[in-house]
Amino acid sequence: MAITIRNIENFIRTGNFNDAALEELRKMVSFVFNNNPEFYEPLSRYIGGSLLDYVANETYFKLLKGRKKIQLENAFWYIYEIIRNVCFDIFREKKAYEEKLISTNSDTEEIDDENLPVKIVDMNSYTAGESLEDLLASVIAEDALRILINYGFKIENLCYFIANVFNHPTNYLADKGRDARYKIVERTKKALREFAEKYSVEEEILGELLKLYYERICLKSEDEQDVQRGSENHE
Amino acid sequence: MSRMFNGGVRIMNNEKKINRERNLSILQRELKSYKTFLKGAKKAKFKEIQNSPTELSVGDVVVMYGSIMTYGLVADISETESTVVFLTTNLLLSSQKALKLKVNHLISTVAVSPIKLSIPNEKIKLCAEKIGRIPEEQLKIVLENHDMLKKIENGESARDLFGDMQPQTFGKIIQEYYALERSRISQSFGLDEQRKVIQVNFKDHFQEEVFAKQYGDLLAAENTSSVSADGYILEYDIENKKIKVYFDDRYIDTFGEIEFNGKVVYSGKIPSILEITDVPMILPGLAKELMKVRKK
Repeated sequence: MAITIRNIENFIRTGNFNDAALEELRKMVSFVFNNNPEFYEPLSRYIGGSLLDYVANETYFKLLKGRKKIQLENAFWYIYEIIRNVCFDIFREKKAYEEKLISTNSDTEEIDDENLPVKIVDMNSYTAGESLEDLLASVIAEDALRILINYGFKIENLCYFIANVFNHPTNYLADKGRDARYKIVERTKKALREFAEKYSVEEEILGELLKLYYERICLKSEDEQDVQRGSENHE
Repeated sequence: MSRMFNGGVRIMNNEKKINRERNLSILQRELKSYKTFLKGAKKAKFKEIQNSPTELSVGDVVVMYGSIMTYGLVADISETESTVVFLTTNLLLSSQKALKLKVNHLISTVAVSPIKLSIPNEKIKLCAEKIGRIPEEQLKIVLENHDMLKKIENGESARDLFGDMQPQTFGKIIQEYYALERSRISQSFGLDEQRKVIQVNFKDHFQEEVFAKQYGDLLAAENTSSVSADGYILEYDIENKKIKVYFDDRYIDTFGEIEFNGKVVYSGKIPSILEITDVPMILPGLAKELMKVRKK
């Protein structure tokens, strides 16, 4: 590992935090970001340019409070995990984060560790077809869309299939007979299942993904076809 | 001349590698970084807590300190052992269906997982630190969530998004994450040491030279040392030249046959771990291809 964390380790041992330790912490945060850039880019867009500072700061407070719990021999990985969890929290708690932006210094509130009740954060009330309030899930769905577009599906087949799933009237495959359309639906369903298995696209995400594909690809390409048809009629 | 040619090949390979990287999904990248952690972290058993032993009760949320902090929920306690449902910290690789819990620790949010292990009380009392409690009325919801995740992991059939009855699945990436986490946690408790290990020797079944000729370049070490298959994880231990196969509950104690490279190397009750010793350096991916496990 190219990153040294000597000063952070010293902070864990002694509680003395200095500029060099801060610099190491910032390097670790960028290391985490660089490992999965597609994931952290939307987060960065959402928070603005200060994401790195924000995450480094939050991580610092966590370390300050819990430094004695960190196992020195694996300090790098403990901190790595804390950094990522701080990022997940920003994603999951958009609202809480916005509130935090308004009321500053909420971190000074001291909480007693002993027997603090553990809370369920969400009850997973999501059902297919609803818009995803959870930013984390919507980033995963957007990413799955990027992969799906390049996966090799024929646009008209997939669009016909999705229109059927959502009971949406469609002109796709209007030139094909019933049997041919049936075969296409079955083949597409099978291929979508294989796609979902390969990329771990769970049902909650798959519903959102198909909706995104329909809005961004199918409806757009239908419009283009209409325009084309319109200009042909003119001639 | 040949050196130039090789250089060209190398550049092309690098380009291919970059393109491949670009095509990875966020979850694939996340699994890759998780494997970097598995490889990079110093393997450590869970440390003993200073004020131990901890008295535990059902509903306690605990943390163990090993190569990383590991969270769990005490689901049941008997005289000899405690059943713990583990709470994963990687929210990208955890199922969307997993409930998220807020804890007050180094990590703030953890997810319920399908991983449940029975840990001898004398072990867990020494290394678990209590960090919170789940209120009784919520404990039921959390345990139901765990059961639901376990059913998905086991591939139980249910109606899918398209209205058909299908075996449920998390998909390959999440499934592999849970399998690797389960094996990491069980190793950190030292549970494998008590488990039944069966050893077979590679040389009893194959001639090393013939094998080397057959697979040539594929006999090399790889960055990632373990791969998961349906029902087991396979690992190549470079130091000891061993293939280790960790079976999960679906296979353990059932009767079956284990085939490697076209030959049956073991037949009988499937153990927790099967070790094939004296194996030449092999890519775990190839080892996975060559292995077949059949229930009888």
